[in-house]
Amino acid sequence: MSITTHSPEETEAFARNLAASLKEGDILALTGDLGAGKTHFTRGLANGLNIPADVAISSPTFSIVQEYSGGRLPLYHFDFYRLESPHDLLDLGWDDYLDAGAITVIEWADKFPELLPPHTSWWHLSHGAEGSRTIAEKIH
Amino acid sequence: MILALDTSSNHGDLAVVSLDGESIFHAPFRTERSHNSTLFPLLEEMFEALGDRSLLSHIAVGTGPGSYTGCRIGIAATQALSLALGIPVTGVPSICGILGAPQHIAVCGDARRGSFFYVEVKDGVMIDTPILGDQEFLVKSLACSGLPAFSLDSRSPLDDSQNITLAKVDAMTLASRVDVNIPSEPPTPIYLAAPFVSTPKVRPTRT
Ligand SMILES: Nc1ncnc2c1ncn2[C@@H]1O[C@H](COP(=O)(O)OP(=O)(O)OP(=O)(O)O)[C@@H](O)[C@H]1O
Ligand SMILES: [Mg+2]
Repeated sequence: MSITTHSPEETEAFARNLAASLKEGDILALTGDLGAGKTHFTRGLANGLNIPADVAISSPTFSIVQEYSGGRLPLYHFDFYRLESPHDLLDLGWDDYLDAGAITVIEWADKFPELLPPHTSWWHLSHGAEGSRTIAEKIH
Repeated sequence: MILALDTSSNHGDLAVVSLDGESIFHAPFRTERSHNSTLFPLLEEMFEALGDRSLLSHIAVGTGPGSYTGCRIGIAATQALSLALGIPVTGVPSICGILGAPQHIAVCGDARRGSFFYVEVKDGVMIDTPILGDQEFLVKSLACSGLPAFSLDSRSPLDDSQNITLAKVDAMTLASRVDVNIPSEPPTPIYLAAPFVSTPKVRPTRT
């Protein structure tokens, strides 16, 4: 499936709706260029999981992972951008995160596709005409 | 007395055992990701029950293979206790702490991303390091050895027809593996090396 959004709010709204269908252990891998909207997408997810609105959600580019609780399910937000090797990720206890029964969302997930389990759902965000964005689910 | 702790899976176990094997304190617990809210109150409870900390002379800690974070938290916590109490800590493979296991067993588990580990425990000692391989490798290893098979995973690493007994680590059994006459080395987690090395598929360019 694929949709086009015309504002950050529309991207968030799309992810917010998607959140309703998520169950524990689900993994969303986000790909797409710088500024494509991966973090806005994640904000929508957090909102849809009823994570308190007063927590600010930004790319965990330097912290690599941010954990959000207080919602329907915990949300683990990863950003692989700065990770250099798959071992760096394993050394964060990656497998334990996947076992924890939370929702995991990953920006720049295509850096280490081999570390993502088969049931991961992949979403590609791309820049379109006049500042629009296309969000497409990919079969990986 | 020996304090023994295992946090390598979601079934944590804490025990204090006298040097002749008598149980002084025993508390199984559910671990969670951070471990803080379960482990530390439990340690306090144990100290309270014990009354006198100086009764403890050794610490044993389960080193896996198991949860990455879990093994490290158990090791870090016991190393801190070791420093604070001035007593040695010994790492014992968690798989050597299976209660009532026969004298010679095979232990296996899911090592993720399509790989599995196989290792044998004889007389309470791990023989060699765990070997990693694919599902077929594990099926064959179990069949060839013909040993009773155990796993500490929460579900069977292979399908039910393989007859793998799901077990939990028993801290008292773990304590019984410690030879108090042998000087201990700092515990290190048993690491199941990822059977792949790869370079990033994409190189993001951010300016
Ligand atoms: N339809 C849209 N959906 C999402 N963001 C949009 C859209 N139109 C414009 N934008 C703008 O694009 C930017 C998207 O930023 P965001 O941080 O979500 O990107 P990102 O993919 O996470 O980038 P990075 O790779 O740097 O983490 C924001 O500045 C946002 O205002
Ligand atoms: Mg981002």
